[in-house]
Parts: sequence; structure tokens; C-alpha cells
Amino acid sequence: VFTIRQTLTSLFLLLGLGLGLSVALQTWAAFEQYREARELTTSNLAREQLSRAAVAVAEERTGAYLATLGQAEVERTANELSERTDAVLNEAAETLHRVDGAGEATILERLQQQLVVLRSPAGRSLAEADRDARAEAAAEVLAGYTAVVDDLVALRVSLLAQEDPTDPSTANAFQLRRYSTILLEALMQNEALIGGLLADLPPAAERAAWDQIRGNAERAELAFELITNRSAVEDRPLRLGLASLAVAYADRYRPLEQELLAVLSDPAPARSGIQSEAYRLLWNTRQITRTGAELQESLFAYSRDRLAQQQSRASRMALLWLGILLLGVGAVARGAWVVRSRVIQPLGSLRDSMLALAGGDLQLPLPDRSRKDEMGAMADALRVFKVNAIRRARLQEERHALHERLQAAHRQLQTDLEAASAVQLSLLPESARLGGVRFTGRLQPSHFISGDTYDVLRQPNGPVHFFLADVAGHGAAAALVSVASRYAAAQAILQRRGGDTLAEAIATLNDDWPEHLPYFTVIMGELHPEVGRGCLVQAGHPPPVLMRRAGAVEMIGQGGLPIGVVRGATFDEVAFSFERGDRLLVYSDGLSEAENPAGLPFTEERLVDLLQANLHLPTDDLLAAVTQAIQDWRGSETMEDDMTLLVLEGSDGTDGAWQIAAE
Amino acid sequence: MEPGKSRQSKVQLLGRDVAMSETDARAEFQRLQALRESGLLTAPAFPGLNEICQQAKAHFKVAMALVTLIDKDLQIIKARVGTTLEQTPRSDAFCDYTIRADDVFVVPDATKDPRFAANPLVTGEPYLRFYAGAPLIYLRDIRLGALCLLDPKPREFSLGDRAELAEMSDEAVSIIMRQVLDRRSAAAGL
Repeated sequence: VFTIRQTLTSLFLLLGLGLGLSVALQTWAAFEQYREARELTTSNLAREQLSRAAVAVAEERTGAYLATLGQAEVERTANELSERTDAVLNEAAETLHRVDGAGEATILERLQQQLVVLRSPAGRSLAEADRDARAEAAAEVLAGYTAVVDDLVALRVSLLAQEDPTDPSTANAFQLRRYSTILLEALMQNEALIGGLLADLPPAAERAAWDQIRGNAERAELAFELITNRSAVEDRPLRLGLASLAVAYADRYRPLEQELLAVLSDPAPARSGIQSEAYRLLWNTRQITRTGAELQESLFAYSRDRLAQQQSRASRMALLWLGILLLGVGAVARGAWVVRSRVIQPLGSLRDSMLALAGGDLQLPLPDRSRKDEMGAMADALRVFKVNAIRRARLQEERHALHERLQAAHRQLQTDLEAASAVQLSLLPESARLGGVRFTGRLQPSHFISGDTYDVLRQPNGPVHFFLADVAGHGAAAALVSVASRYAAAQAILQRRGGDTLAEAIATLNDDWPEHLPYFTVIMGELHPEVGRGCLVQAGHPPPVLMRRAGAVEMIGQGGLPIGVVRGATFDEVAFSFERGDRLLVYSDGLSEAENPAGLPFTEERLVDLLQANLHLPTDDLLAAVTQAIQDWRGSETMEDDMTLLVLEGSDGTDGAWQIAAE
Repeated sequence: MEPGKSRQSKVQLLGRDVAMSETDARAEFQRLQALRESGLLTAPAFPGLNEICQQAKAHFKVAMALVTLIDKDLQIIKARVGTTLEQTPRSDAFCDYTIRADDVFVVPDATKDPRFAANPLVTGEPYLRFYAGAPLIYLRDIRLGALCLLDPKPREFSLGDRAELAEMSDEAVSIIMRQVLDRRSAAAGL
């Protein structure tokens, strides 16, 4: 499996390599073409110079030939001619050295030496020789020079054979040059021969000259035909040159040449006829060789021009491709840099950051956030993720701290509540016997502290008083008020004046209860076990239950208002018999109104039934049974409201402790 | 004050009144209540808030960073870096816009924002151009003020920038909450 980094890098390298290679190949090819064009130009120049050299040698040949024959019709001196020939040949040699394959240069050197050899006998034989010897020497000179010219032409052709111009116009021009060279050579050879005819030649030599002239005429004719076939050229000076050559050759030179040949073909030609024809023809031959040389020059110019164009085109192409190559290399390098610095590296650092973030490392610095591209946007999004992670960690930390605070606060509250509960419980009297009454109390706060309270007390030689109060509501406020109610109830009992009934004492309690405190319900009663009676006042409290020793269970009391609800209210006393062994159960509404999960209250009726069923139990067990029954009813051990039970029992005669107390 | 300025603030005030829906009005009431209850407006400087301003200024490379509370008619600046401003009229407060939502509120260039182009803090000293504020979210829908960045050069504020600023404002709220809670606990004897 390749990573994106590897894939991108290798793809880019491959692409870059492919592009670079193909462009480099093209560039190489273009340079190769340029080199070829340059070589072609050089070789063309060499051939041009060789052609000129051939013309120069041919002219020198004419001069040397005629001079050897003693012919006076010489335009230039031999020295002039040979100087020009040497100059042209030297130029050609120099150029040839530049052409690959220096074999041609060696051949040219040999030709130059040959020329030197040719020149010396030509000068020597001038003075003394007779007519035949002159003719013989002239023929030798002619043949020698012609051999040099032929070699030069051959050299030229061999150079041309190495070239293969792609441009058809150039190729055509090359052919034209070739044929014009042949034409020119044939005509120039004829020029020399015709000039020779003017001299006094022996008949054999004349005969030979005639043969040569005819042969040259045929060669010229062939060359001219070939030139005519190829004369459809675009170049205007070239076309003009070809046209004037055609005029000079076909209209002027050829008819005269035909005439001369006709005269010469006569088995016994008239000397004067030959001379007059030759003379006219000689002049025209000079004209046409000049025209031919001019045509050749314009052909040279044309080829040079074409080749120069070709070369500059090739050089432009080469430079163009070189430029493309450099651009391509630059583009690949720049692209590689961009891919590396803007894709691969940011991708790598993004990856590292993401992995670190996923691994929970929030310290790692994020990649460059200043970029505006895709990577920058992703890095920016990563910042959001990082901040979210930091935020989550911080919130978690804060939540823990908050939980600890809450826990501490709860513990503090709990401690306070427990302490308050202990204080409250310590206020309640422990189960005991008092003045012939045995009492057992149970207080079960719904939450540590309770709004219920009770007490059993006896003034010296007085009856046994009891009360059970339940302050409205529960919690801390109800608990504190219950303490106040307990104090107020105890005061009401203790400060009860001699004639006051219990109901009057309760009325006073009701009137004295501070208005701004919550109301409370209370059962307050007095018991006279020694005479078997008791009475009680019910103030908004659930009715107490009297369990007779004989087995009867009855509720007593007629309701009444709670304390602190209506100022000036009056209360009723309920009197009942209270024999030894009778038990009075006083309770708070937390018992009778305890609800089961379905929301049904336990009710006083169920309580009475429950007591009836468990009447045989001793008091402690009876209370345990009631508590258990309530828990079962509720389906849980917790209470919604405070629940208080107080059982007062007329002491049995067998109860020694009661007897002691009674005494 | 120039006549142009007073007219502008009147228009702004009008705009706010019009924009204030029933929920806004309740939020406004609750915010003011929370500010009074917590005693934040009058409380002495909170240690830690200035550090947050410094951190924000350095991190975002801005000229000023403030912790503001938006009272009924004033913007109270509880902590600051880069300025000595103690309070501004609420009508000039950028943060008054910030407290209307839980998101970070950004003004890339105040001169191009019709709501702020004529604000005296934009047209005069300190020639503010850039504003970014993250609300101090105290309770649900109750945003007491903002942790804000101010600069006289306009700039862009990316998602990452917003998240980071919001995190800093959260930290500021934590600092405030912690101290309010400490004070209350101390008062309750817990």
C-alpha cells in the first residue's frame, strides 16, 4: 500500500521524467537538424567554390590552350588567370577543411599540384615549337586542364552525394547547378576549341577539334534540355537568368553552332568558312559562358539564401525547443516544490496533528494557520477540534471540582442534620413508667429531623399528662417549630391552673401561639390510672385508638381545629375509661396517611384492623408490627412524612414497678 | 457631542428597541437580575480576567482585549489590556450585539458595517475597525457580557479563531463563577 506522499512523489517524478525526456529528445532532434543545416551550408559553400574553381580553371584552360596554339585572341594574361584560379581554389580548400571528412581537401591539394605541373610546360613550349608540335601540346594542355576540371566537378558531385536536402526547391536548385555546370563546362571547352579553330591547325587536329566540339555540343544540348525541364522555379532572378540563358543558347548560340558544325562536317572544309563561322561563334560562346556563369551565380545566391533560411529556421526551432525544455524542467521543478511544500508537507503535519489530537495530546502545536488554501482550512478546522477537546477536558475538570464541592456541602448538611436529629431525639422521653402509666414512644423522621414531637409528664401528685404534636410541613423549619410547640404544650400543662379544664388549657395554647409560625395538630390528654379514667383533647390530629384489655379496639375523639389556625377557637374534651391493661395509641398522620406505590393511604380503618389482629402482642412487639406493616404498605423503608407512635398503658397489678410508682 | 453622533445613537437605540422581542426582553431582565444577584457589577477586579485578556491579545495579535458586562445603560469593562477604558454607553457597545446569541460575533471591518460605521469608537479614538466578541454565557440564555478583541486594523476571523476565543470566554466565565460561588459559600458558612 502506497501512502499519498509516495504516490504523489512517484507520479510526479514519472511525469516530470517523461516530459523532460520527450522534450529533451525533441530538442536534440532540433539541434541535430540545425547541425545538418549548418553542414549543408558549409558543404554548399564548398561546392559553390569548387564550381567557381572549375570555371576559373576552364578559363585558364582556354587561355593556356589558345596561348599554346599561338592564338592572339586572349582576353587576359595567363598570370591573371592563374592568380584568380589559385585564389578561388584556396578559398575552396579552406572551406573544404571545414567540411567533415577531409578526404576532399586532400584531393583538392593534389589537383592544385597538378595545376602547377600543367602550367609550367604551357609557358615553356610557347617560343620555339612549330605548328604540329603546338597543336599537339595544346591538345595535351586541353586534356590536362579538362581532367582537372572533371576532377573538380567530380569532387563537387561527391560532396553533393553526401547531402540530402529535404527542401525540394533546394534540391531542384542543386540539380540546376549540376546541369548548368555541365553546360558551362561543355560551352567553355568549346570556347577554347573554337578559339583554336581560328589558329592555323593541322587537319588532323582540326578533325579532332571538330569531334570534341560536336561532343561538347551534344553534352550542352542535353544539359540545356535538362535545365529547361527544371526551369519552373519561383525565384524571380533565377527565372530571369534561366530565360536569358535560354535566349542566349537557343536563339543565338545554337544556330551558329549548327552552322559551324555543318561547315566542319564538310569532308573538305573551306578554311575561310570555318574561320568566319568560328569567329562569330566564339564571340557568342563568350557571351553564353558569361550568361551561364551569371546564372550559376544566381543559382548560388538562391541556394545560399534557401540554405540560410533553412539554417535560421532550424536554429529557431532548436532555440524554441531548448526554451521549452528549460521551461519544462522549470515547471517540473516548481511543481515538485509546490507539491512538496503545499501538499505533502502540510498533509504530513496535518496527519501528525490529527493523530496527536485523537490520541489526546493537546499540547502539540497545530500546523500553520495562516494559509488560505485547502490545507489552511483543514488546519483551521483542526483548531476547532482541538479547542473542543481542551474545552471538554476543562469542563470535565470543572465538573469534578463542582461535584467535590457539592459533596462537601452535602456532607456538611448531613452532619448538621444528624446533629440536629440527635438533639431532637434527645428531647424525647425514653420509654418508662410514670404514675401508673407505662409509655412507649417511637418517632421515625422522614428526613433526620422531624416536625413531630411528644412528651409524657407528671406534676407531683397530679395526673399523668401526655401530648403528641405534629407541625405542618417537614424539614428544618418544621423541626424547629416542633421544638417550640413542644415547649408551648409543656408550658400549657405545667401552668394549668387548678380549675382549668384540659380544653381551656388548649384554648390558651391556641391563643398564645405566635401568628407567624406554622400551625400544628396535637393530642393532649391526662390519665388517672388509679381511678381508671382519662380524657383528651383532639386538635386537628388523627383520632387515637383505645385498645381494651378485654380485646375491644376503638377510635376516640371528634376532630377539632389545629393550634394556630383560628384565634379564640374552643376545643372539646373526650373522656374515656382507662383501666389497668388498657392501651391508648396516639399517632401522627404520617402513619394513617402513608401511601402505597399506587397512591392509596393506609387509613385509620386498616390501623384498627391491624391492631385488632395483633392485640395479643406486648407493646414493643405491637409497635414493631405496626412499623413493619407501614413499611410493607409503602413498599420501602423511607417515609414521606414523619411518623410518630406513642402507646400509653394502664399498668397491670402484677407490674411491681407501677405499684412502687403508685405508692 | 456632535449632533451627528447623538442622532446616530438614537437610531441605534431605536433599532435595538425594535429588534427586542419578548424573549429578548426576558433575557434582558434575567441578565440584569443575574448581574445584580451576583454582585458582579460592583465587585472588585477579578484576578485572572486580566490574564485572560493578556493571553487573548497575544494569541490573536490585536491591540486590545476586554472583558465586558452589559448593564442596563452602560457597558462595564471588568478587565482590559491595551486600553484604560472603564465603561462606555451601552449604545456604543459592540458587545451589546454579542450578548444576543451564544455564537462568537465578528465585525471584520466596522467602517463597512452600517451598524457600526458611525460608532464614535470607529469614527474617533481608538478608530476601531475590527471586533470579535465571545459572549460570557452564565446560565441558559443568560449572557452577562463578552470577552472581546478590538483592533484598529480590519482582519478576518476564522472558525478556529472563533473556537479559541469562545474557549477563552468560557474560561473567563469559569473564573467568574468560581469566585461568585466562593463568595456565596463563604457567606453561607459552607
